[in-house]
Amino acid sequence: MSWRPKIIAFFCRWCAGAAAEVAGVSRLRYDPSVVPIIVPCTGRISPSMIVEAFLNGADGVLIGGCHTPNDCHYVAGNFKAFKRVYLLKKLLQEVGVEPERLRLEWISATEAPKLVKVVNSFVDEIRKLGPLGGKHA
Amino acid sequence: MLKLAVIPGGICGGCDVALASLGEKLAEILKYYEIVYWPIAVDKKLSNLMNMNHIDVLIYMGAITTEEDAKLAKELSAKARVRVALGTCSVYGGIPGLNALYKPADIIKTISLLVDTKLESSALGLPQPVQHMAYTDVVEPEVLAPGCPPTDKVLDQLTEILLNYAKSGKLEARTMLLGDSESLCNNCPRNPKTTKIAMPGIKRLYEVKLDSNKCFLEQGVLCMGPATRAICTHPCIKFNYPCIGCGGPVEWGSDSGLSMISTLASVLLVDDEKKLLEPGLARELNKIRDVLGTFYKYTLRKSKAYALKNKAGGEG
Repeated sequence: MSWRPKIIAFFCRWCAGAAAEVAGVSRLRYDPSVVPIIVPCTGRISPSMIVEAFLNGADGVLIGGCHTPNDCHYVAGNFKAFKRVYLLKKLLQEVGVEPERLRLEWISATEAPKLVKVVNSFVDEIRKLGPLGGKHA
Repeated sequence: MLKLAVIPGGICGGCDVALASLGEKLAEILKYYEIVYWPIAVDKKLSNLMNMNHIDVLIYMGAITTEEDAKLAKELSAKARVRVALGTCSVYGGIPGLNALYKPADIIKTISLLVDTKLESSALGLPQPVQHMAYTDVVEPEVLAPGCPPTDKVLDQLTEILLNYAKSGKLEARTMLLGDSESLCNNCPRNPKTTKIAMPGIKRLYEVKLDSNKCFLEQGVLCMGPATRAICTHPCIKFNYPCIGCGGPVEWGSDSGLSMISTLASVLLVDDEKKLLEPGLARELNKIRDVLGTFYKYTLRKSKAYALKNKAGGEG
């Protein structure tokens, strides 16, 4: 297994991002194939950021935000993210990309163990799917 | 006299008509230009054009759908000083650009199932189909004039450019995308009165009696206006029909489909999110059956979605 997936994770600053900090402080280990990017809110993640990630070599994109309905720091950014990701998954399917390569999870600031579990299971799933485009680099 | 050549590719004829309907302005242009090729308007031979050393202005209309189109576009563009991509097919691939999702052979197979004719290209000596492309996939034109067909606004700007070029021999910029650099909503006659647009679900045109003064999105009808360049004076919208995005993205290189997905997420059922939760929102979003056909009706070939399809190597 020389191939290692490249995964971009967008975490919101208030929930999943904070959980990632807690995971770090608590010395929980998760797969290093994931590159986390902290954004102010999942509602800020535009569809083109996700598609650009895939175009520039990501094999999977993980998005972590606040639990619905009431956890979002900006009232309803997580719902915006949900709608964008839902439509994007349909788009991915139509252009021949497995929709499983894009995952949206709600992770609160206290759920560091859940974050670790989600990241690891996502990495496993992408390993099974293989690289985007099917060619092992 | 400068030499002006108008080359049609895979074309429906709408651009020809739009260009011909310039009327008096065309007469003005012809004071400076001689039409050396334009099959629908003048009787000039392609072989003469191929033997010419140079063409001053080349206007390419339509998508590139056959080997013949591709060859003509490449060879003639190399001789041209100013290249104009006229019409959305030429600039973004247009509706024929949706064919790029499939292999040419599969398209021919589907057509021969639908119509009772043998479409054996080689046997009839017809040009072979290629993966459908926009003119801008083959060359980098100096002037991009989108629209299906190009609108009066775009054609007026094009006339201005052609006349200025004839007088000064220079272009204002390296690449010019005609139309105004703003989204169609900016000057929409239905300008929504509220500061916040809340879309009450997704409805088909037959499901709703449209109010001709109210924003389409506020009535639950998908309108591509927010993600479309202002190339027109809202003829469809004034006719109570939502924008379907023929003008392409607001800026060259941006992606109208992804912008529209983003916009839709921001307005769809914004007041009921906490009541409907994810399953309710998903049920509403499932009403969009064909994401590519809805959001990329005219621009798929030049979109990031198409780039992603190529990267994934899928068969569509």
